[in-house]
Amino acid sequence: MPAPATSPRRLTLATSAIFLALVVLGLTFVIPFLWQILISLSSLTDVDLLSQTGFPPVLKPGNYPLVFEKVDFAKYFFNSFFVAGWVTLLQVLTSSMAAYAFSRIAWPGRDKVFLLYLGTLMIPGVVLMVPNFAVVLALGMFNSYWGLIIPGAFTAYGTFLLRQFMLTIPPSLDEAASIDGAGHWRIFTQVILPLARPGLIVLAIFSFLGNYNSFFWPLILTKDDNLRTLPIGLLAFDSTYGRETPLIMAGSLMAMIPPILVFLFLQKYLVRGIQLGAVKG
Amino acid sequence: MIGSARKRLLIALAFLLPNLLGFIVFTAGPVAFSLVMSFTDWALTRHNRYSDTAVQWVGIENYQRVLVGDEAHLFWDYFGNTAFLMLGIPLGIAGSLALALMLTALPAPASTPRRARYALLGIILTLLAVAGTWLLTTPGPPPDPASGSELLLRSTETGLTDLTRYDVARLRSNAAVLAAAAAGLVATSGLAFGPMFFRGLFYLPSLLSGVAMFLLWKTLYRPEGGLINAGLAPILGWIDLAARSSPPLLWHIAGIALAAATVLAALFLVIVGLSRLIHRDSGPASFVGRLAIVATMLAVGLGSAYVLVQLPQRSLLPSGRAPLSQSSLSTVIDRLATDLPSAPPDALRRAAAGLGDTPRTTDAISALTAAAGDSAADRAAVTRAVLDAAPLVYEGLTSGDGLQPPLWLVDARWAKTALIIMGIWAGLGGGTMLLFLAGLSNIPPELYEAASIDGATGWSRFIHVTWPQLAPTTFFIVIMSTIGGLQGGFEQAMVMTQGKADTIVLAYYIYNIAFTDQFQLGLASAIAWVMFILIFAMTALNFRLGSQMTGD
Amino acid sequence: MRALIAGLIGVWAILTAFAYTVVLPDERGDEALALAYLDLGPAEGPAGTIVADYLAHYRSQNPQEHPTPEQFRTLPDAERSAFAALFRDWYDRTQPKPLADAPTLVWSTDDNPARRVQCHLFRVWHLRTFGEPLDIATDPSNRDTTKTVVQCVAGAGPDLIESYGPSQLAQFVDAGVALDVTDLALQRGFGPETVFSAALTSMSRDGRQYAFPCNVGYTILFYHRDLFAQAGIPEPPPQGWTIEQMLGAARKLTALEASGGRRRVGIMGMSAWAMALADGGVFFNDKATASIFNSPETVAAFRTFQELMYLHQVMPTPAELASMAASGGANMNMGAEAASASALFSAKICAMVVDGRWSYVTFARRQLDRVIFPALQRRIAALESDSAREEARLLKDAVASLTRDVLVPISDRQHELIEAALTPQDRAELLNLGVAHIPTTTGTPFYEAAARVAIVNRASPRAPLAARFLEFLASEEYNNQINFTFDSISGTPGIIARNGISGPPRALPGLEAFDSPVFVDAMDSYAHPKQLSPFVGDARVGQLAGPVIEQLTNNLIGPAEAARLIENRINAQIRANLLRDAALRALWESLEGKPFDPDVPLRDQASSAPPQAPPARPAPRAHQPRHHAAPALPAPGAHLRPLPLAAVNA
Repeated sequence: MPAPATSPRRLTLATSAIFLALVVLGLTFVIPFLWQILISLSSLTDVDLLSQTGFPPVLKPGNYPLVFEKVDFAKYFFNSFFVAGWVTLLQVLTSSMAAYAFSRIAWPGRDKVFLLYLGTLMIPGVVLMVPNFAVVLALGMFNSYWGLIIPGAFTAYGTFLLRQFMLTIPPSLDEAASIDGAGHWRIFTQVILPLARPGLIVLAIFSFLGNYNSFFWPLILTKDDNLRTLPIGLLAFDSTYGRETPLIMAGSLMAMIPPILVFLFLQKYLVRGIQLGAVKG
Repeated sequence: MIGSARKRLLIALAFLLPNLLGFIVFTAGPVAFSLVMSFTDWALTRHNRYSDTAVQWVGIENYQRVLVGDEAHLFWDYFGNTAFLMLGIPLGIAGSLALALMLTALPAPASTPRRARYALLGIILTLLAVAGTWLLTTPGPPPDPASGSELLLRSTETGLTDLTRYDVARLRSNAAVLAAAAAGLVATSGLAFGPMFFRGLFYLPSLLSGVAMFLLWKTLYRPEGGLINAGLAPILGWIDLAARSSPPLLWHIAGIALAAATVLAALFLVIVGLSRLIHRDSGPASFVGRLAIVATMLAVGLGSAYVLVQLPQRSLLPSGRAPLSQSSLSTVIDRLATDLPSAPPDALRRAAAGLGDTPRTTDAISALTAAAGDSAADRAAVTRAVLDAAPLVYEGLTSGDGLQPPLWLVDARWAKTALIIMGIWAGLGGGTMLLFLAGLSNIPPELYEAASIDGATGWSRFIHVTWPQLAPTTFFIVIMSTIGGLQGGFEQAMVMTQGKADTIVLAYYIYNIAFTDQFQLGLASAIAWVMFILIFAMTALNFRLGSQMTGD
Repeated sequence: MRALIAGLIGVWAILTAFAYTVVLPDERGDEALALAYLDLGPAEGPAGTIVADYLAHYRSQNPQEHPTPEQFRTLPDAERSAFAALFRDWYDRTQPKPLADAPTLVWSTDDNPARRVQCHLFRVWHLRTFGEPLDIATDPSNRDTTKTVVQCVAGAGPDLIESYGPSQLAQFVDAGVALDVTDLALQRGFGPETVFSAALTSMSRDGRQYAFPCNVGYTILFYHRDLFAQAGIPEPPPQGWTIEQMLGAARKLTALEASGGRRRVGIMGMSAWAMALADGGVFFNDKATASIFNSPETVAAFRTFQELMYLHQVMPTPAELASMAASGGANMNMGAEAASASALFSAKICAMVVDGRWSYVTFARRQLDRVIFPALQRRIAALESDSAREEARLLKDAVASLTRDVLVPISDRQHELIEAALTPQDRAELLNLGVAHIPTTTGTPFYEAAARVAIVNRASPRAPLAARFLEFLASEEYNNQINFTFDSISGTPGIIARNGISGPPRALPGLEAFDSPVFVDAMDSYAHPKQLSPFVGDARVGQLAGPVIEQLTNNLIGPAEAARLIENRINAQIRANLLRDAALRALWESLEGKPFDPDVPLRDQASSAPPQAPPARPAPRAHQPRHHAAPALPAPGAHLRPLPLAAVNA
């Protein structure tokens, strides 16, 4: 780490200034969320009033249980969590292997194949929807967990991200390992993966969140209520029947809890990765 | 490297295989399919599994239509909107990098006792702040109901509450106390947990699902009573006061100076970039990046300059009409002589003279109507004449009575800026910051040690060690942001503006082509591939640079 | 790290087991069907016989009687579920196939309480009509048809597809997704003759029927009767009034309110588009070969529209509107923007609003929260001290039901008690609404109406079963439910004529206008379907015209330029489409009877005649609905036939 590696751990003028800036900036991040919480606690009829009073005239904590009462929120919770978890595990696995092949092995045509990978990211997904759906249907994955999990497990995005991380690992390390007689699989698992840990964690966080909050693909791929995920479940409060803003806000605030836990859990490893990298590097 | 080229290929394939299989089936296949289809007239209403009509090969017709043909005006129009929204990307990336550097520079509290001491200090300060806010804002005991409690607010909907002045003061006090508590909480947690806390806090927006965020910001952006404009109003009030109590020339000079400075700085940056390009100090990609920064700088600088120049002219109406002048008023009176022969011209002239040099249109209408005889027909004729004489103008920050905050999502001139601000808020502490943090943590410390032996500190250490080491990460971020910027903006436009106020972006456009009317997926694919070419050109440039820089 | 990965894989393996054993098999269908059986009761037909057998079995096992269907309907949900579980167990034991094996139709529509009620009605209706269990489930879609289209063209769509208006129907028909039900409809009595003529284009194309209306959508004028009385203005006459008359009233009603300092506006929700069409503007010519929108009538209507906001200032500008409200209230069929209009109206911030019949929900909530519930609380307290416990209990039940859902029917006795509980002050506080036809320049009302319809997916293996749902949409049960719960009105004039549009739940005090015959009159006599052209897509028309209308609304361009721009853009698009597509050109030339010349402006070479207005209602009804004996519609404005558009133009 650049600065703290040399500076003593106490509040200097510079760090105080940084701290102050971060607190002010932090407030601009907190206030919209505070606002969201206030909306989620007010009655639908008072939402418009809120901007003038700053606080709901009548607090309605009952909005939170109401979300569970009106839709099968617990089930949607589980589905989102479950599907996002599997996709993340599979994606990190396949992407890290592919990234190894793209960054640590020099093989003919490597960069061309990689550009092909990269190129597919540049096509807007809207036009891929119909062929993609046809593929999933042909594989018999429509309206099942398989359809929600498998197509998300092999992404060019994850490969690209991890390749970039692995590129920063000095080549001398795996050269030294191969001189020691280690094969590619051992170099991959014992040298590269531990060093690319921040990248792996970042990909895991992105992948989990992306799939947890994803809307369009699960919407198109399911028709059974038992397979619905959270964003689709929240649709019930934004139907043509009306937009129940407080319930949407309450629902989406509760939906944030698992990702927050996942983030807190994973960021611990992110930090450890940093220290580990510092020791080994 | 181990083994022969052939062996390496086999090993690489083995590593690649799990990903490659899925990639071909779920990504490459459909992508290739869409490429083929972009040369056909594929439309879902005509060609699907129910119909025998064969898809016709139309060659490059779809591309022609998009780039120069009948779709071109829409495509380039929406491309312009998309490009404007993408101005936020360089700002966002720079902000994220700054944030990541700040977080890395902030030491984590080392020991638990120290942590506890900080937390205690924070809690005490918070309690003091909360108590102080409460004392300052609380409205005291409720007024005697008999003495009459003035209704201040009527609920806009079915609300249970009509609120008196006292009720509103009480609620606002609650809000202020809550804000103070939040500020204290942020400071306390920051003291106790250091960077870890801030990292989580800044990442929060990325955890919120899209639709909820858009709805939230829609309420924040309300022109009247929205939280943002409520915060802007006092600031604009001060600026207004300053503008009132100083000569207009000052603001004109300030505006022109800012514009000139911006243009000069932009020129300088471009020239430096060109010379580096010519001397091969840097690749074309960094020049493109430089251009993006210059474009953002020009937009921000010239926009602010325009606002500065407009400042003294505070009397623009919210409907976007310029104030009248005495000469335009005489045009109005001339016209009324024919439109409204019954009105006495002398009375009209006297009324006009009494209005001052730059009357507001509403004042002019009421004065002239009164002079003309005050009937509904008079009012209609006068209004038409006055509005025709007052040209529409750029609204800027200014309007009727002093400076008014913008009509964020309604006004086509502010809507895109509003979306950019929201995008920066959502993205500043998000994935980009996380990637930079991870990238920073991957930089081997010995590089810094070596640099400090060479005597490098601060900026030069950043330029010579941090920035080059971050290159692969930055490369990834730039590419992904560009892709995201060109492909994004669809849901925002849907939820926040319903595509109004000139916020339709390319993604929205492709969606409309592909999934309304005839479902022209062939044409939509062609548009997608045009976008592909745009992004690919930029990436290819960057890719070459990325390879050079990592020495790979 | 390794331990972390191993742990995660382990946890997710357990979660997978949970997903496949608990979440996926979670079946509600059989309980829903059991409830349908019990609601049906021991009626005639095979399903009723099954229930009768079950009741006999129940009697042999239990000392108490099983509740009758009437009693059963009023039981709390938990008890209903318990009875349903008993029935299901018996059914699965005694019948050849368990209840869970009954086929399930998937209906793509939005997920809301009204749809759940309708699904239940369908299950009961199907048991009664066909004697066998058939389940139905809704599958939510996003706001447009993307999901359904992607699924359908690949052959995996829902069994029943929801579509709104003629252009969406055309898409599904052209794509070959929609099942042609013309013959079946004739045979089973849900053909075009049972439907409002303005709704026909939403369910038929080229003379073939593909759908049946769920309801019809249009907006109408609501006003505050007390505000009119205060200002001494006569209320709008039921047969419609002119813009000039409306303006006179709106000017008087637009005022600065003393309390709150908020301006009250005269009217909200008038749209430039609707005004142009109502005042004689015509979008396409008679052959739909060119747009003839740029006419003096359109310009005049656009001018009036602008003047409502910027000259007379009786209608809020978009900027004012954005300040007034940003979040939506409950509102069927419309986006949040329209919802805020009805919200502002119910706060008496505007005196008149153009809105749909579905806004009842918003107004009823306001009525209850603000006046009726407080009054009832006082009354209940008084009654309990007077030891009139029975009445207090009835009122408490009413409050509980109405709190859960304003559309829950309550008994007549409860209505009487509510009426009695309202003091004169309460009555003054109540919203007192009137409803009238939309004002137009000529005074002849005009509505552009479309129907929300259900289409049968041709590729569905259950298509024949799904077609029964269309028959259900023509049934009394369904249409009464739509009409009685204020979900606009149903598309079936015969059933409306027989049963009216008011039934349980009765409209709350002050909202009786929601049962006004004007709603039926609007559809019956003055509604017109939207004009479509085969030469330019409807969505593209919206895309091209939308920004112009927006500029017009924001007073950035004048009316003449707006009309000119819209017509030019549409015609330029038609020209480009004709140049590109030979088949389209051939169609154009056969319609016009002359070759298409790309160098001549489209409007100059195409027909300039406006379309002949079809009679708002087909004169003779060839087939009466199956249930017969439809009396003539007693609508007060029924004698007023709209002038043919040509006459309006002249």
